Amino acid sequence: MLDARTRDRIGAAALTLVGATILILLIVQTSRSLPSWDGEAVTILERRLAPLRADLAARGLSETGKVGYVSRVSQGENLPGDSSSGGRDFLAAQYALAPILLVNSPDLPLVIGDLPGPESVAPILSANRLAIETDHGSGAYLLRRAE
Amino acid sequence: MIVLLPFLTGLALTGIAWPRRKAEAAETLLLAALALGLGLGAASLTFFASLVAAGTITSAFFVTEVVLLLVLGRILLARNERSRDEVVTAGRGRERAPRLLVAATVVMLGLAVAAYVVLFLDKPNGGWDAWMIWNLRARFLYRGGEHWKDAFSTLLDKNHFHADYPLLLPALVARGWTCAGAESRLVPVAIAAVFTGGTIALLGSSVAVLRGKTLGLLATIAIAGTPDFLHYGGSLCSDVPLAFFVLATLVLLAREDQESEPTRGFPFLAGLSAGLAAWTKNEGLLFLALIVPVRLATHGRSGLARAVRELLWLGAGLAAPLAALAYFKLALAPTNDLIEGQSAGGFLEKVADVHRWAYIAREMTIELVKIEHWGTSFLPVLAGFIVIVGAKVEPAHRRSFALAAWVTALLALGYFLVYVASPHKLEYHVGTSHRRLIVQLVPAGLFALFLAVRAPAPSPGTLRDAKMREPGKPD
Repeated sequence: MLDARTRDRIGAAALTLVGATILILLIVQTSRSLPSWDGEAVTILERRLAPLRADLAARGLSETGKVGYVSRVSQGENLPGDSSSGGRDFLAAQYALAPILLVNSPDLPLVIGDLPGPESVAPILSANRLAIETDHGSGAYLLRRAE
Repeated sequence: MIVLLPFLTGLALTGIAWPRRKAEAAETLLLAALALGLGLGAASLTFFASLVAAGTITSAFFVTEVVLLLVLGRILLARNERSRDEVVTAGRGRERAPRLLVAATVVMLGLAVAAYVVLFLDKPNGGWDAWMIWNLRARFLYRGGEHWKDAFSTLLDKNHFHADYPLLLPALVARGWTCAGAESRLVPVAIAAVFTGGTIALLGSSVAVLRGKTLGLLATIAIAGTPDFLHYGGSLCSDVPLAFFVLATLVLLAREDQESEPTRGFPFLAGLSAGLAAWTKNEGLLFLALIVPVRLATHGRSGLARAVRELLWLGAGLAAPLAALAYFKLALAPTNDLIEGQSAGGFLEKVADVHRWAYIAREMTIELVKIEHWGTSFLPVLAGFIVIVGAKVEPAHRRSFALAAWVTALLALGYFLVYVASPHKLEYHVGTSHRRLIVQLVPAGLFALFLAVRAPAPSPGTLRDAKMREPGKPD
């Protein structure tokens, strides 16, 4: 039977060695796939929507107001009820454009078009009876209800 | 100066409450860690109160903080003039820790800092909840001007944005941006680092004060080596701040247990800390509901008079955060998604579903026992540590241990029951939150564990010194 001092030493050594090993593994594995400082997904989306925020502010929507939101996916997919698989773009757009309230609907006088990609935006605009107010590039549009 | 204001306020608060003694290094570190957290909590309350009173962000919060600091400073000076230093050290301050263990702790802390930095660089905007909930709310407060209450609009989807979550962190971040004059990404990072480092310091120093430096260092190693604690600390969410206030409450009540005569200061600060836990996250409300009855139960019938007096001071400490929380919940916050999504029939059906209980138990157990770089804790290693070293709760720590162990266990049970009754899809709800819930309990659980570990065997040198020491002569 080991005496108390030996058991203390073994216990302390085990705690330290396992803890240190876990941390070293964590550091090595995480640092292999670090994004660049400005290359993280939320930062990229924020940068893309920054001109829209300035545009809204110029229209008097800087401290309050609400705008609609359309994307290339359905309203349900913009804001999935119980899923961790989607919905990030809508949530990140709300984060980028706060304190303006983003409503997951095209039925508002002003609507944010979050439509990156090479595909045409025309079908989405016609399906939702929207027209381009301002094209800020990179798929960021300020849209309005078509007459 | 404005950056230091919360810390100075915290120092004044803890200075007033603490028995006037010549403190050992561990007790000084304990005071500093508490001062950091409680000071930030007080700054959050001041900022929120100023925002409510002025209707927008003004310099009122700064003036209030300065006045508060001056008042507390004056009380501290007056108290120090009235009383002299007692030459008493709590716990085992004179014990000398093995040098190798000190070196190992330094290495572990270095690795923890490196891991924390890497985790932050991996997600510079913080985890999903950091930007979607906490920093989004901070943006509404900071950018919203007179319309800051839009942060609690019913237009914000409550399943994702959780506009009913309390405001400790968003108010602190908005305060930091106001002080900096810009939305610096470093503000939430600095606040998260203070709470993460503060929790490590609080656990290590409190165990050192109560159980001796050797166990204090081992407790530091244990928490610094818990990857998910660092992960959620670096994710800029509210889980680690909540864990800090839960631990601080338990530590302050444990310090009260070391006093032969009841104090006013420790229960007051414990009440403040418990209130700040509820001001941090909704889970803190469960902690608040538990702490009083469990504390009463651990006092037993013989200590009823002391318990009642203690509860009065605890209630006094609770007053400010509870008032802010009551105003927030009654006047601003929308209904909680877990409550709104509930129906009587659905609730009973879920509670009667054995599969739900089994699923939650399985997921929580897997998370607790797995050892990998992404694991919540190295619970199996801690279990092995206890088996090797042995457990013995000393009579002086029985009440403190019972409180910490029961509160941790009942919080875990409470979280479990919330899952059982959850109106959300169970796999989604458990999968997106069980790791963070466990992290909230890690510091309190480690505190209970290190109150129960057998005290280290004295080294031969210490025994020789003790034998040579003349009876009655202080060492």
